[in-house]
Amino acid sequence: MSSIIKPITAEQLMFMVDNHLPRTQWTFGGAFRYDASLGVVIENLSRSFPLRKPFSVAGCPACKWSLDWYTERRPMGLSAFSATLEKYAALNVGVMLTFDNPFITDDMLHDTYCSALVSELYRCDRVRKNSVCVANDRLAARMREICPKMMICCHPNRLIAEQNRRTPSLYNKLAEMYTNVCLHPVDATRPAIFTQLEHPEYFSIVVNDPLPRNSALRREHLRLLADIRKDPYNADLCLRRAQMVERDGWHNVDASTLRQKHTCNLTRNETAALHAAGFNHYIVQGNQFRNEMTLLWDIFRCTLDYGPELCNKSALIASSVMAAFGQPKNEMSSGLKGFKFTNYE
Amino acid sequence: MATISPYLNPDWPDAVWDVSGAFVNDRELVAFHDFCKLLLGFEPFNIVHGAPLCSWNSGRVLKHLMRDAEEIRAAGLEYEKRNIAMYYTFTNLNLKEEHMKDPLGNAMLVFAGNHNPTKRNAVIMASDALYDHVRREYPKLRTVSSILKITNGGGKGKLDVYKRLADKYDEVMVHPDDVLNYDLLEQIEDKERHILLVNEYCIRHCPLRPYHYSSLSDMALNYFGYDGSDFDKRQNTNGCKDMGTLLTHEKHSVLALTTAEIKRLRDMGFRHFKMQGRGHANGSSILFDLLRLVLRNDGADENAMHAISQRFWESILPHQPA
Repeated sequence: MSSIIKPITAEQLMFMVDNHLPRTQWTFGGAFRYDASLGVVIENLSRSFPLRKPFSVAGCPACKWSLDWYTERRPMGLSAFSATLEKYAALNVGVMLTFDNPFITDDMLHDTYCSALVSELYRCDRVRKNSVCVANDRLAARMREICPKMMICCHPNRLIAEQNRRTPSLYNKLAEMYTNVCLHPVDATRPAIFTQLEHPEYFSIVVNDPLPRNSALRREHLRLLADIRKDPYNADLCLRRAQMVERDGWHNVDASTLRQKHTCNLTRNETAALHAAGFNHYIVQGNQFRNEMTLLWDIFRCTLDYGPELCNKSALIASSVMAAFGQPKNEMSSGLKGFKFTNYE
Repeated sequence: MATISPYLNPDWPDAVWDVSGAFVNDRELVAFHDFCKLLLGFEPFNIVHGAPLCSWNSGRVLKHLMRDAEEIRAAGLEYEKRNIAMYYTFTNLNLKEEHMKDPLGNAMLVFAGNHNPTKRNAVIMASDALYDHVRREYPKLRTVSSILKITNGGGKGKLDVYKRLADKYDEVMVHPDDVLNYDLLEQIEDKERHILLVNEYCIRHCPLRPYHYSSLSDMALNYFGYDGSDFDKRQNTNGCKDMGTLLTHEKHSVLALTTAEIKRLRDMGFRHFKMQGRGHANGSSILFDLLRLVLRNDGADENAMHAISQRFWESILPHQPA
């Protein structure tokens, strides 16, 4: 055996994160949309750089309690759902089932399919890391009925839909009701709020929200998504959504925004301030992107230190993990690869 | 004086980027080029390098490099449209006179000669036979001395070898380890004709490098029959793929350069920087490196480039299978 290779411990790799959110817990979005890729990333991160292996993944199949930002997905069968939960459990990663629709009406609260997802999530929780994440307090109460012992987290959409002013006391009150509360993406940039939270360890931070900090349309946008969920064939709703996004400039690329902190993607200084204030759970969300690669790139961009001294080594880690994609799978050849087939569950 | 784009990496705004992925990640390279040009107002690179799987190609000898003639042609036309020069990686060490009749290699050289708006299309070579062939039959194409040439020719660290190569070739690839040999680099004349690899994800001073290159050249001549198990075995115990070694070894850590190391090269007068990335069976690696090396990086209190990068990814359209 070559003398070049020397076994090293995770502690010896701490220098890679010492200046960028050391000793933190991470959740990666994209579950139930990009599971194959998340599996590859998690598996290879576990091997290459376990310091950033996520504690959990977040996401939800299409259902009445969740929203889709782009194409409305087809329903997922319960057996496929359970199989996905088991795949993550085998990687020792929890699943945060995110019911991010804040506009839950009474008739939706007892949805059979959604309730079954929660029961299955609890039943399959052999690694004791699963949780539900909801955007509606009445839905949280419903969760307690279905699974009293399940960890219940508060989704940022709960704060986005909040009609009253968001204050530290609101957050502190929510922290009493929920196991964990995710800050509104804008509030993560406001020390006046986050430094007043009594227990930062009970809060999570989304690090890669791409929407403008000054957007006044978040709530209205969620309302539209909820309406689209109820009426997915209504083209007028979809058109209104597209027009709203364009009006608010969510996809603009503009030189004038270069030095401004235009989006809610957190700067290095901002994450450092949050970490110094005691926040240690961070989320790389994926629901707001239409491309899987955006999430995958963001996972590395946000979890690794790309400062001048370590950019080469962080790039190595990313490259090494991403090299696992596209490898030969030893599958049988197919003469029908170019054609589309629809699964029916 | 031309205005420098605010989106360009200010540490090396005049870098001449030479990007891997021709004939394998063409769609993505073109997408990135177009995004930068149309939305950010600058051209991120004007050179791509690569070659499909063929006997002349070495450096990367992999299944995902298989292409048919129409795919090669389509890619070449897209590069021509954008004034992007193609540097063919015809770097097989073992080419002899009998290999000069290769129809694919020659067809590509004809194409490069006929679709050469920048007059910069080039052939990267390690074989003297191929060099003579190109000079004789395709005199309009530029010649580049390959990494394989300097490595397997025993030229690492030797100024006189670099001088001889610079006399013969239009451009010269510097040995990957020599990018950190500042004493040598200072003495190289005509630095703009020397190409430096900045994102090599292997270990520094890899003892396997010459064997790796020679085995690739052997494999390229016998792709379906080559037994690479000996190389695989040696690579697995050499440290090249061991993350602990790559991240922490004092002498053999990863050869990919830090910001300070690239800046130093640029300050010395080098401009032509090569970015490898077609060795993976997907285009993410080269795109990740394009984003971090070509574009400016956010300062500690900035996030605009993070958002721009997200918008780049969001701009890539779904790839529909044929």
